[in-house]
Amino acid sequence: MRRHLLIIGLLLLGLGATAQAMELEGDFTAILAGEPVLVESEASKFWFDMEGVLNLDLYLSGLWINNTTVLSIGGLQFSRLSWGFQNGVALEDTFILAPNIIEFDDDLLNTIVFASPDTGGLVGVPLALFFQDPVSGFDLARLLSPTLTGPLIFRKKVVDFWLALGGVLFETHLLFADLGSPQTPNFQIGGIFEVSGYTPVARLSAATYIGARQGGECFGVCKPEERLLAGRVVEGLALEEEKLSLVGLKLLGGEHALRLTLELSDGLPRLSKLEVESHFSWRGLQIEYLARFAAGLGLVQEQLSLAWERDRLKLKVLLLDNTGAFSFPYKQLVAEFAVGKLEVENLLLLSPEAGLADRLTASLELESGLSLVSTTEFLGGGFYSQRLGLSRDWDGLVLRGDVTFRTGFMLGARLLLKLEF
Amino acid sequence: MRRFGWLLPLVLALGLLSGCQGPGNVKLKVTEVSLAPGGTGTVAIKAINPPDLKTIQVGPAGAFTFDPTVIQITDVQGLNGFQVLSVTINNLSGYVRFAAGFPGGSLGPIFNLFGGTELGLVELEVQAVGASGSSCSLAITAVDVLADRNDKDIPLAGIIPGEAKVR
Repeated sequence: MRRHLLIIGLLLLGLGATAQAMELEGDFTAILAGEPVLVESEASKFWFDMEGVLNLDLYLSGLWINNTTVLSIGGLQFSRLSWGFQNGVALEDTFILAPNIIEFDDDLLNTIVFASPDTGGLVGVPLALFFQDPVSGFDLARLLSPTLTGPLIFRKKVVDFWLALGGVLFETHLLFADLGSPQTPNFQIGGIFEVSGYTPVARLSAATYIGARQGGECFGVCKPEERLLAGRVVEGLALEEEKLSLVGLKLLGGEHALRLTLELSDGLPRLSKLEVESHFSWRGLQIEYLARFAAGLGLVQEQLSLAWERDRLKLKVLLLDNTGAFSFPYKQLVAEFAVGKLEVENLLLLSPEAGLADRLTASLELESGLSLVSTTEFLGGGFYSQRLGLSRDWDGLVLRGDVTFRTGFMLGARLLLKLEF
Repeated sequence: MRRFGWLLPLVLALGLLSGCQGPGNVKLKVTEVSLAPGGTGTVAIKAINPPDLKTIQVGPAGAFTFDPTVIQITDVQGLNGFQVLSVTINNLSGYVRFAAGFPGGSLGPIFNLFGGTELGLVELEVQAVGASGSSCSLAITAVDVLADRNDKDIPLAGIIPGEAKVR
């Protein structure tokens, strides 16, 4: 552990000393956040958090090195060191230190399937709920904070390798993870091996998951910079999944894609996921059809979308179905338009039992570098949430603040300062 | 800037003026299940339009009820991060009473996700004990507590009952 920190420290010192001879850039983001805890409509106390994210990039003759470090009130929470090059072949090596590792599925809700340390109650939590905005930044931190009590240890290493030969691209992603604890390490190895290439009719690809599955991993409190989405390591080094894709197939005046996943861990291969996507264009109207099937090949999602765009106006009607009867009980209308320096996006969702839900986002540039952003949400026909934010961009310096209200209470406020160098 | 100054109050007014009224149409829904004779399955209790939902308690006044000659309940589990804090299963009289909560804060809707305004809270594992062709209603007679992240009561607009069928 100390050796890892020493290596990173020496590397950063080394980068600083030689920065003039190389290209060194990066940014530092400081975030202050507060959330009142209400008793009888009065704030009895405040949750308060202070975080810092340091991002450093170094480029040297085709070689690049990146370090991302997340600091919180509790100390160092996450550190990622990556390096790579591209010269005929491409190589990227990533090394992650964190007190925890959280694995999530690639389902619609990014459901947690594994956590270490497992403090109970995390498996089954839908991370997508916390990855969207506007939500409380403290909810996920509160859920995951019991997993952050240990020291920073090695959690993940990923070695990515790309090689193009005769029009065929070979990709290897080797995954190493410690799914255990500082006292009882549990090192696991996995790999994703992918071959892809263009044929006269479509692009074909095949990815084999050994000791790994589709999904993602995150560390710390799963902030965007603490997430890895290219697969997750599982215990054992067995054949787990095979993902086959056919993309860009031109047929009947449209362009089509087919993606399927074979489950290999049960012995005989079994079709576990299937996705069919078709795209047509007619007189400026973009028509898309998407159907997703899951285990047992039951329909998970079917959607038909019609999109139209002209100048600064975009309209999209999305019809959604989970019945398999082509009945589309859920309807979504997305409208985007811009008038002068005002940009508006509205998402309207109509469902048979939930009624009307709506999210209206408006961004207005008050003057050069100064913007006001408002996000209003309506749920079940009534008001639900309002976020107001102000953003000021100077050359190399960004200052943002926002405050979020729900019906009858204030959810929280944030202040962000980003310095680019 | 002045040309578009009038648009700002218009956009904000949509959100702020409508803040007088709280989120409406919050309902609970019990799903349906079709079982083979002697077979097992699951029934979910879902929240429709959950506005920062943190706690649900069904009992001691209310109960989830079923016909014990058609199905039996074998277990109750939390869904989507909800944790079952206490549970009483009575397979003689045909009721379940439970309390469940979301420990990290609250469960809210996911606007940009299909079905994101309808989220599962609790899942009951059921086993068919009735004859083929039998069925029963799965109802919640009353909800004792439905509260948000500040422990404020959430007004409930209705409960949609489910059904268990033995094929």
